[in-house]
Amino acid sequence: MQVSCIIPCYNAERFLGEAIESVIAQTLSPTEIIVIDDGSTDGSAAVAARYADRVKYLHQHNAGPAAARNRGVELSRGDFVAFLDADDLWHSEKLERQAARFAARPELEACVTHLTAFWEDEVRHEQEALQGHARTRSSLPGYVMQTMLAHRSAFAKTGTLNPALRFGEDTEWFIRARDAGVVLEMMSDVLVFRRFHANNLTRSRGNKVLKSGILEMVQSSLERRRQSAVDTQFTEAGEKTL
Amino acid sequence: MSNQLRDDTCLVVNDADVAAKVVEGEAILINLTSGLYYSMDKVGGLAWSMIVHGSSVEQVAEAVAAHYAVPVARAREDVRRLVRELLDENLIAFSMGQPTAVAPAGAAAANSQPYEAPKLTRFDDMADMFALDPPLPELGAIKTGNS
Repeated sequence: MQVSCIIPCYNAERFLGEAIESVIAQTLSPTEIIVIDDGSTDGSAAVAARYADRVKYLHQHNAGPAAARNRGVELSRGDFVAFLDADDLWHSEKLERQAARFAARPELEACVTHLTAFWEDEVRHEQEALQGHARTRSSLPGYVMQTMLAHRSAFAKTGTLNPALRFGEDTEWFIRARDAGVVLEMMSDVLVFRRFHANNLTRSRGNKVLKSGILEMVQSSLERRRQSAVDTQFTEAGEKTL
Repeated sequence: MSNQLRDDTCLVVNDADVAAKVVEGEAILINLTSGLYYSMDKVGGLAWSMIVHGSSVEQVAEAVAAHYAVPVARAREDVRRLVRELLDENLIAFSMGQPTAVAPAGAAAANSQPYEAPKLTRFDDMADMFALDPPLPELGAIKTGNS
């Protein structure tokens, strides 16, 4: 199994080193680590340079995390791709445990895992304010890119991430993947640690934006499935007349 | 009791958890906390577009009877059932307000459109996908940084 690990990065000098370390510490090493710098203006490039022997670094004009991940997939050479956000961390056995699932299920095309959140000191009050809220659960199903190990076929079937979306692009991809028939497994193991800090990109969106984005995803999925049902009926009808 | 559904009880969308839109007459609703989503066909879509404006069961029933070929008594019965389902799914709640006179979209339509009882269809296949980032309560004091 040849795994390419793709790390999109935007002004992440504070955490990028830890993210890379958590990839290097994998019990199953990826064959390449690619950092796509999405137009950072801080010292992210210098941090990546410290790992120049292991990390391929590419800088692009700021185009959002979806575009950065797509660029990473384009550049990657592994038959499998995995992602990590520059402010998150992988469990040291993440790739190994996921690889075992692919070994056990040859038909599997993508594997995602549970994750848990942790809070930096500057947002500790937020964690306290959210006690009992779903977001603070110790294990949550992570339908996000940083938990996924996927065979390239999953991208061939689903297409790339939608670069027009600046949030929810992961969820939208997973919905499309499911509609496209990608064989996907959710592992209950907590293999990703998601960091909350003062500058999370996701923090900038409000509930209103979240709502309209999710509604559009649901609407598009309903339309796709209805169209698919119509196509199937049409095909079946066609077959009957033959 | 306040939780007794009466025909003059005003209804209100559970805005904290629910996102909804009406597309070509069909209502699409999602409860962001549960991850469940729903669709309602044309009559349900009409009902929803009125509930959004704080209408009562009676007002919705009258609007349905005005648009569709259905006696108001039958419409009232169906709307009551639909409203109970919406309440059970935590998509709407009772409102303390007074009914407002709301003309639904296309109010001029004659009562000639073929009628089918409104149906709330529930889907649970994406619940896990939305579980990670449910709507946050107001946390106004949080410093949001610059991104």
